[in-house]
Amino acid sequence: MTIADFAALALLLSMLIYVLLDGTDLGVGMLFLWFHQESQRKRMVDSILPIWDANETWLVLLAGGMFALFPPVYSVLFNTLCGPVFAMVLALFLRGLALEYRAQAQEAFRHWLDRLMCASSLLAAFLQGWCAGVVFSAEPHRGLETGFALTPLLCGLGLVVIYLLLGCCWVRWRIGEDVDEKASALAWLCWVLSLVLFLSVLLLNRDIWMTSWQRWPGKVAIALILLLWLAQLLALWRGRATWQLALTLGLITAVFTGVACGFYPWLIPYQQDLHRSAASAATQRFVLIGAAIVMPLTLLYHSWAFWVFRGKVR
Amino acid sequence: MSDAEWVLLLSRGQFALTMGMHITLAALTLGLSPFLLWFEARWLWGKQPGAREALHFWLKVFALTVAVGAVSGVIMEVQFGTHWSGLSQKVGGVIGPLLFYEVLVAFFLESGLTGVMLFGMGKIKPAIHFVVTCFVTLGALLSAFWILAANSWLQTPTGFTRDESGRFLPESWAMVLSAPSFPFRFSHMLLASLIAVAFMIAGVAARRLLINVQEQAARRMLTAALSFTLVAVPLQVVLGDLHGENTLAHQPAKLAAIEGSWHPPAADEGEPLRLFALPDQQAQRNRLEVAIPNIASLYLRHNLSGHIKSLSEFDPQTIPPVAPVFFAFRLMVGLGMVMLLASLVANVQLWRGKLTTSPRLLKMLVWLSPAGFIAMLSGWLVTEIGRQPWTVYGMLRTADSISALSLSTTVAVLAAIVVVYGLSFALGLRYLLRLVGSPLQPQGDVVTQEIRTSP
Repeated sequence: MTIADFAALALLLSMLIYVLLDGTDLGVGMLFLWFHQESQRKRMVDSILPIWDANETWLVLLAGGMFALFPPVYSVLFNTLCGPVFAMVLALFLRGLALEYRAQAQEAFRHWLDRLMCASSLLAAFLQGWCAGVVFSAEPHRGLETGFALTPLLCGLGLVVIYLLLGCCWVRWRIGEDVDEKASALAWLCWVLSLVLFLSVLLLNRDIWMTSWQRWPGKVAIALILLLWLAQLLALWRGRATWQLALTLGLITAVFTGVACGFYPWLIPYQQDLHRSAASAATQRFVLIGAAIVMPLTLLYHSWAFWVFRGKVR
Repeated sequence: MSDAEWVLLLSRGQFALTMGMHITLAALTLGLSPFLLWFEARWLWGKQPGAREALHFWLKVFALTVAVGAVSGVIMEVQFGTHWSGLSQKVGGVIGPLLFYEVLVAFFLESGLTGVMLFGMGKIKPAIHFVVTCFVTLGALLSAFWILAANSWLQTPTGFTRDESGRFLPESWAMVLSAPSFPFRFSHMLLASLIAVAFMIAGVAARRLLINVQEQAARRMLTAALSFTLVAVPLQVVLGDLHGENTLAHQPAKLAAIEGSWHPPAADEGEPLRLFALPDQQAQRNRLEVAIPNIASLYLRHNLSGHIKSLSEFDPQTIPPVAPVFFAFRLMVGLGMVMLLASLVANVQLWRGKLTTSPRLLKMLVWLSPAGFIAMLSGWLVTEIGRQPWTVYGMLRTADSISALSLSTTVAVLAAIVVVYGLSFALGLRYLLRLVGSPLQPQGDVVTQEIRTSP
């Protein structure tokens, strides 16, 4: 493995952590669509209030990391996806507003903030999937197509339901009681929908998975994906929230690994490969050494911050 | 104007707007966290009456702003790619790592522990909470360090080579981090944030004392903030002067624009201090100039006859727009002088025990509460407009740094940003003002709001 491979791996890792962590709290935001009682909504917000900010920082690390490690990829990607990316970050901005000002607002205005919370979470989740779909469906000699297409649409919807599934598991685990029944039913729905969407995206972009299957980590990932979908079914049936959350997180990790194996060595298919678009070795070394030292510490104190707010939210 | 020129102008406007908002919020975090630390220490170990209420009050203000500040940072981080891809492709290898380290060692520290600081009181021991507050402060400080390192490199680049395609490659990281303007920029900005927040605290405390002169917490805030300004404002004047000398050495065109000096004075005269003028870029001269002869040489050259390189001695294509730099600088210095005077008067009255009973002085402090922020933003305009037409000073032009965006996309994105930022600013200000006038909560473990969990 060259240093550029490690650099790409570091980026993949921060993207994965972002999706796992912020995906969960975006999911909780979208769940406002189904939970209307103030007592429920308050506890849902309380469960993510101390941590959402830190979760979102992984997205900043991803963008910053891309800027430092693969400047051409960073500028091509963000320049081409300017519209959706800005809509996404502005949605995140509004979401932050709705979350932080909720406790300050009077009742009537709080309803508006809650609508904003729900809509902005939905938009941010959808657009993240959309952007991934645009990269997914890149074809040789054509660059990235930003117009309307099926793959980005399905990826957007897919990410929305996967985040919702994470959100359902989270509220079942952290709140339980009166939200449990509805969240559990919704989790079933999300499981079915995400499976359908996953399979349709897979069929539309078979090449990536074929490539992935030819590499051993890809083989492992694909086998795990299969296994985890089935295990999820079991967890749903037995109704264990923590297991279900862990399995969903595992499933997302396996899908990430599978896709990464299918992409290698491309960062943007047929346009930017990770060796030619890498920043100088001196730059990458400087960044990666810092990341290798600081990232474990970061994970450690972030876990402690999670731990402080452990237990069911009342 | 052609479409491309509009795209450039609007993208610059957007960068200024988003950066201005982000700077204000970041400075608030950076300046406020040491005061939080001070109040917390005085409460825990000094057992000072009112310190605890002061801490809780300012933690609430912190909570109102920190999240929006963090998310506005996300916008900055993508903007280099979306709107300034020319710049990011060329300098990504140099300033990318600096921004990456900012996220890694600073942003994470701040965002990860802010939640515990705001909602964790009562769940952890007070001493641990104090340590958490220390780390949040450290995070804000490190964040400023890396961001200003990146900014200073763009202003006064060092330690790099360029390859055949014009990309900047780092030669040595130690040299990249020792850009000549960095120490001055960092200390000047750090102190500016602290002073801005100190005047805000003093203003808020004064407002509260005008309502209830007996409030212990407000007295605590007033004393802490005013004593700080007594040392900090004079120190800032000295630092500003040093920063100016550094600019003279490394960005002479910016300094000439600050002085509004189009042509060198006669050989036996020094540089005049121009109090007012209307700079005319086309005619290369000032209208309605009011100046005191020789004085500028005194603070620029430390004698009465020294000269600086004037604007007409540069290629007209390499000088910044003079008028905004000229006026922003005078606004900054003017406010600085007002703050210096106000700090002296208020401190004298504070020692004599007459400040809290003087409604006129208290009202003056209320009016001065945004002064530090306005001065800081003016200073930022001076340094950023003053470095035009370059993004990497003397190396890469702003016009060559821009992305190939369509005018419609640029307009749509900017319009969305204006709406969203306007909304958030209005809402934030409303809650802030409501908080400023509301009575303090009785003592309890709740800081901003309680998050109840069962074991």
